[in-house]
Amino acid sequence: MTRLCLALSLLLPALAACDDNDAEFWQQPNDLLPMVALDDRVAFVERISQTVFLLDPGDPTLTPRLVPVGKAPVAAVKRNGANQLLVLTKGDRGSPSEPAVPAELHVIDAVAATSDSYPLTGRFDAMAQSDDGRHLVLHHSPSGQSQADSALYNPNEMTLVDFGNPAAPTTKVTPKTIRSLGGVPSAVAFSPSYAFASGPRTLAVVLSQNYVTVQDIDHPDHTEISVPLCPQAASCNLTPAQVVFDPRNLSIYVRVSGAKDIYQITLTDLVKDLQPGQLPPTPPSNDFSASLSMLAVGSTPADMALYPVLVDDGIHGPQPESRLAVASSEARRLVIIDPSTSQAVSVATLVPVDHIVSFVTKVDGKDKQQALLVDRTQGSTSVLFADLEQVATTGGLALSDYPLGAAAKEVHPLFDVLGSVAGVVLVAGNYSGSAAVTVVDLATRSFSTFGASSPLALPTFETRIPSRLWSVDQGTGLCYLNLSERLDPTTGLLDEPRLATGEIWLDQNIVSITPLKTAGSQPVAAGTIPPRYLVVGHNDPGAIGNLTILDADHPDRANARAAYGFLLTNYLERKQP
Amino acid sequence: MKKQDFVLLALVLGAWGGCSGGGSETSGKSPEGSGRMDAAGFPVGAWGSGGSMNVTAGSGGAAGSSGTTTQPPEIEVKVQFLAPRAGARYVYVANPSRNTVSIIDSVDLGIVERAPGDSPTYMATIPGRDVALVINVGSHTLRVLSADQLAGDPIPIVSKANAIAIAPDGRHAVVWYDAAQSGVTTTQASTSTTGSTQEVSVITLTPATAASAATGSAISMSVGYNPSAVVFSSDGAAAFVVTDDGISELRFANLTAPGIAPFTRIDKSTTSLARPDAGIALLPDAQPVLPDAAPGAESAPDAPPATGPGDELDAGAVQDGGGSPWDGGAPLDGGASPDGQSAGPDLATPDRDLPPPADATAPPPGSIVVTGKPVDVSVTPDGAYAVARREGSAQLLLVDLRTHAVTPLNLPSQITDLDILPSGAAAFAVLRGQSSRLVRIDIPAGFGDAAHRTDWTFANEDLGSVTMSGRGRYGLLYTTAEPTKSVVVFDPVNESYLTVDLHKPIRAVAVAPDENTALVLHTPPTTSGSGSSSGAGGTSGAGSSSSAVDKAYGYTLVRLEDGFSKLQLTAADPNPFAITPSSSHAFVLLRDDKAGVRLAERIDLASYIADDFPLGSPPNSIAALAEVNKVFVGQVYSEGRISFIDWRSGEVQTVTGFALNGRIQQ
Repeated sequence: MTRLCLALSLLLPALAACDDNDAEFWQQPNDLLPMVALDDRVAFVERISQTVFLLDPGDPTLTPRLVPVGKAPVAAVKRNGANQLLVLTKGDRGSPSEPAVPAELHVIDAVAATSDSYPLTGRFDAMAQSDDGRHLVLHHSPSGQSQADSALYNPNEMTLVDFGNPAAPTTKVTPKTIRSLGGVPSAVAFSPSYAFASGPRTLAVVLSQNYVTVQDIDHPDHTEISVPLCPQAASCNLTPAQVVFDPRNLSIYVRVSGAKDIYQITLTDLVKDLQPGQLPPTPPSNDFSASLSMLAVGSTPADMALYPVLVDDGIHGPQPESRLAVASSEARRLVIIDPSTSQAVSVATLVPVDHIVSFVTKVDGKDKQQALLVDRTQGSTSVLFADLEQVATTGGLALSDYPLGAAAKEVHPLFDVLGSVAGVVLVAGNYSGSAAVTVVDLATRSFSTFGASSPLALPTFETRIPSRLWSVDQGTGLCYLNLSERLDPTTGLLDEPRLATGEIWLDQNIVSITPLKTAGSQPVAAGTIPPRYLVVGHNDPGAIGNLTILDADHPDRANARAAYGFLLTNYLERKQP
Repeated sequence: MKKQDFVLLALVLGAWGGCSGGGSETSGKSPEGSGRMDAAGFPVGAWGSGGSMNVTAGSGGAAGSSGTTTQPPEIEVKVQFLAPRAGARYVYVANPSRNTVSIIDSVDLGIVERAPGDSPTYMATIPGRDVALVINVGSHTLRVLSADQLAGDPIPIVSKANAIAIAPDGRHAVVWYDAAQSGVTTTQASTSTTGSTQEVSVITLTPATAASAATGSAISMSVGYNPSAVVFSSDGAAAFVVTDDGISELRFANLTAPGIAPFTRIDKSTTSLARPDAGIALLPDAQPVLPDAAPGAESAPDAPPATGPGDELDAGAVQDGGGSPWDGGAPLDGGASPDGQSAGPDLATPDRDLPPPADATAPPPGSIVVTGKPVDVSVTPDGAYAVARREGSAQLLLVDLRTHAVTPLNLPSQITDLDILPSGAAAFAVLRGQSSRLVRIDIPAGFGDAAHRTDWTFANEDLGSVTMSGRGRYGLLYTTAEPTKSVVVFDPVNESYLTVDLHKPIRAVAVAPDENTALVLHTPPTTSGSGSSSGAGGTSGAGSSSSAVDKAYGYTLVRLEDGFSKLQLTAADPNPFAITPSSSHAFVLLRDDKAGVRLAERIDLASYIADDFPLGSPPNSIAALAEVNKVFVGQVYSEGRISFIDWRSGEVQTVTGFALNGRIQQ
């Protein structure tokens, strides 16, 4: 194995001796945020030097590219749908002798290693973004730890960032303070596009203790809608736990810990049915309004899933409608709710279901809505398949149970090339035993069980085709299980079959496994296709960088490369903070 | 056969324009009797917003009758007073326990809560408008809600008030204590146990303007004993309080200070004219009875002194104002045509399609002794006359509301139902017996001149009730007292009729505002024949055998033009129902808690095809919101639940948790 080591550290004692006054600075180790996997490279944010290290595993020299960011980075994530890194810096409130430094958002392009920065009005420490990465909400975390040194701040202060249409990106940064009903935002959920008469809308649902807030993030100047979860503030102790969006019904469903109902927020288009002479709402009013319905479950819901149905009333022909499947482990019931009427059908389940994986199978060319129902908490050794469309008519007859070798503690859906759920991995509690991992083919309802003599460490799932489960055995053994068959990208022939396993031994203990999404930009050899890389982290007490780079599709010790000390690349050039 | 214990309450239909020319009728029974109509004198949600009907249980009985040949009473309709109330766009729901009224916007489902006072309990809405009146029983005040706002200050009202009647024009309301209503409430609030039941508060409502919301002021008036209903003249200028002992008259223009309302006594003094010994109770024609005017009757400027007999016979005094009464499921009014002309037909000479007229002066089969209060009171649209009948009596009373003269008319046998033409030109009385009879009495001439009465006998029909369509195009004759299975569609214009055979006994009848279709609700299956609702699937004709039909709930749609009928069996009792103002659709609510049936069934009145809308909770109320083409369906749910159904598209929207919704900040 080739090991590339940097000897810069050997120089440090001598350099430190040059200026005794700065000894403490020069001996200060790197302070890193957790590594972030971008599409084809990894990023490290070093807080002291306010530097982002972009490491391209395909770079033969493994020399990182450095991008400066603002003062006091507090969070870094990959931007969805883009090969970019988002870095949030807190800045500095200043002192009598030092001017304040504003908080900033940095958007760093992984390939170009350039940064766009946007000053912020609040010193946020949390970010939430839409699935497509267009919208970003910056907010304070509930703990407020990042504000420990702030004199005064509003925990319901936010900043909404709209990166614009990918075809014509223009970034808009809008400060927004939402109404407080006594809580602090704990999470933000982003909707798919809702069709209103005045145009499509993306909504952000901000979850807070005892209430949720709905914001039209396409129009951040519009007033937010605050929806309380209790009729009276006193003695209210409800925590929003899950949000499901239903654009067809212009509805949002919220599952709430401590409540026995599903909260349905119905949005009414105020422009659609305008009567002659009536004027549409004008900003800051929304062009929709919200109302609330309680969808009775009868016991505490543990999970919910939305699925479409075609309903033929005999008059208008098949019409698409939505149904909400709600599982209650407490009552061992599966409840199918028609949200438009609040009517519910409840059927008993053999196991206390707390997780629903809905999927579609083709039967005679028609989509058939089904679900895998799993108990993850009470030790059931069977799972249920539910024919959701039949549950309402045949009740328990639409449920069938399948035995497991061990109780499932985790459920990981697997997606096909179209992004649809095709399989599921059920994992036993400690990833060990004779049925540590069970792979379920949902279409055929076939189960494959894998045992592990010792607990598998660092389980890491690649859930998109070609999907694979990575884990660590005995500290240095890198193991994998193919969750789908793997084809040779050059020949298209079968490379490795589904459910094949493999193992590679590395020299150092493995502390992280990071498969990258896309292939690198630089071929290993002339005429070859750049591989997709697997970045394996090792113990790194000095935070100087200690990685092993492998081919994610053909992991091989012989071709592995080590990247060590690369986080000291700019060490000599750093300025004293 | 055991007397049926149902009381039909309610209401209905009719376009707003129709109500302007309509008279009103109320049907009531004595306290120990069964039901009476909505305290308001007309149903909320009618008048231009379509109508709804609720059939509820009551205690039937021939109250007040001591006759030996009393027929079982026909069953009439009663509105559930405490149900949500429909405006044009908003629905109002009183929440006494929270001291709030929830106001639900049917367009955007937004809900606001307002606190009108202590224990807001009883509500009514101005027909076709978004103005609601609510009685705060804890503070004895009335509040006006205009759209989704409180309007004006609390208005002190009579302490025991639990009923509201609003004039068709929405300019006045009468608030009073209705003894029969006191047991209906399920709220924790209670009215005062002290005070008089003979007081009403007359509310003058100031319409909303662009600059101000609707407000109101009140004057208290003393009226007769135990008011049971209030009816209005079609022009909204006067209200008439029907009491146990007579009719109190409230002419709004003359009410400037508290006083005793002019009163026409029609109880014992009238009944004393009956001849219990003869078995022939017919009084001489044109012998009006002088009113037993209450003290103070003359204090009202517009209350002329009682006049002599001859005055009542002046036919010229009768103004043909148009309009119609309503009762027992009949559509409300329709009354005058849009141009204000009477739409009520004038009867022509009977043609050959009719049975030969009977002799209205023929002796009745038994003696008639009447001591009870009137149970049916109809007022002509112009407020000039009232026509009343008593349960178990063969006597009709014509009350000249301006002179307070009462003219009795004894018919050959017990009168089981009474209705008047929308124009107010004539009354129709049904005399049930082995040979049922329908008598037309011109108002007022028919009470004094036999030539102004026409009598038809239906030898093979058992008929006890009459329901006139909204504009008087048809009269539907049937009985709810016996399990007969036919309805007679009577055409008063052409004086023809046809008999429509049904497959189940009749419980109530309503006619769509366009007068094309009648909706006939059938009696629930009997205990012996019902069992469960199994076998009824909501499909017309389900269960072809008669036994299957007998065991099922259902209703029948009757096309009045030709008598085509379609029976629709249902999974539960179809009650209540509503018909849209445009007559395009009807809705029935189906509820069977044991069987888990919770449906709203929509009926296309062009095709008679029905489709179901499952509901999240048991439905209990329905009304049409004309402005938005929706019906609301109130449901039994602890936090409150209402579904809105667009009757054109079938789109359903449900809102639950009124208190929660009231806290949403948009």
